[in-house]
Amino acid sequence: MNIGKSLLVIGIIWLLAGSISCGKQEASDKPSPPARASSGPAKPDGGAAADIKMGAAKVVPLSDPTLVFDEDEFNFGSATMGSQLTHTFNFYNTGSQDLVIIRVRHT
Amino acid sequence: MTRGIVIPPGAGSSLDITLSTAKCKETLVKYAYMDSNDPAKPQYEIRVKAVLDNPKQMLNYAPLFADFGQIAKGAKAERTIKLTNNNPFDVKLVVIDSPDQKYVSKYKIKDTELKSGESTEIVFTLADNIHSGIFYTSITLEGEGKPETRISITIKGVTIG
Repeated sequence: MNIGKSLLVIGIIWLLAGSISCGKQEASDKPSPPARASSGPAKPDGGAAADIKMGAAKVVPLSDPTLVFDEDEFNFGSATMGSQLTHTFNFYNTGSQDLVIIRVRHT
Repeated sequence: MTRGIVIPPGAGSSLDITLSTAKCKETLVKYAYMDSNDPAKPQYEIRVKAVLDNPKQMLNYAPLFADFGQIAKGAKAERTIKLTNNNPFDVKLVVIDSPDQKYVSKYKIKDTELKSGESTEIVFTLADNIHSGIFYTSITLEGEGKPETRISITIKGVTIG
């Protein structure tokens, strides 16, 4: 699939003030995973044009918007305290309807 | 927080993450959640993690940051980090994540294959067209096949004028 990349870029900065505790956050910050629906991308009918008859057109449903990240975790490894570390996560809409990013939150 | 960004079918975008570790110690794990209208995954979780001032770190470097300090906008500048392999084994350095080219136009690792105890230099060249103000980016690298050796180094500065 040839996926074009828009110029849109979303940024998040975690500025860790003193009131925000560091370390051992994996358990406390992590919410319950959302329920996962079972729907997948719809597969278009693979029939040849000769199979299509007048008055019997089939409706091919659009698949839902599908959010896919290249990766969902990045490990910076060891770093010096006081570092400002940057990483870019790429994501795509592999569905066939508009994907609407409602919001981005962070712990 | 970001609201109502539309990604058409077949298109993509990116999420820039900056992890500031000013007052943290030890292992740091942070999460971001992207809420969307994808019915299969309405809340997508991504994670970043780092180990700060890791006593087990064996790819050591100095200085601790590639700091360009205050520098005139458009000025040419380089900063060098000396990196030493203190592992008991040889490593071949591989770059996992490069610095943002908006800030660092190029970088060069003089020797990527380091025997135990050997050092090399990483030279960062400042980009020409940085906007005025504070900037920072980072480089992440490790010994090939040795993910436990991974390190990230901050590159920063302030352009004036």
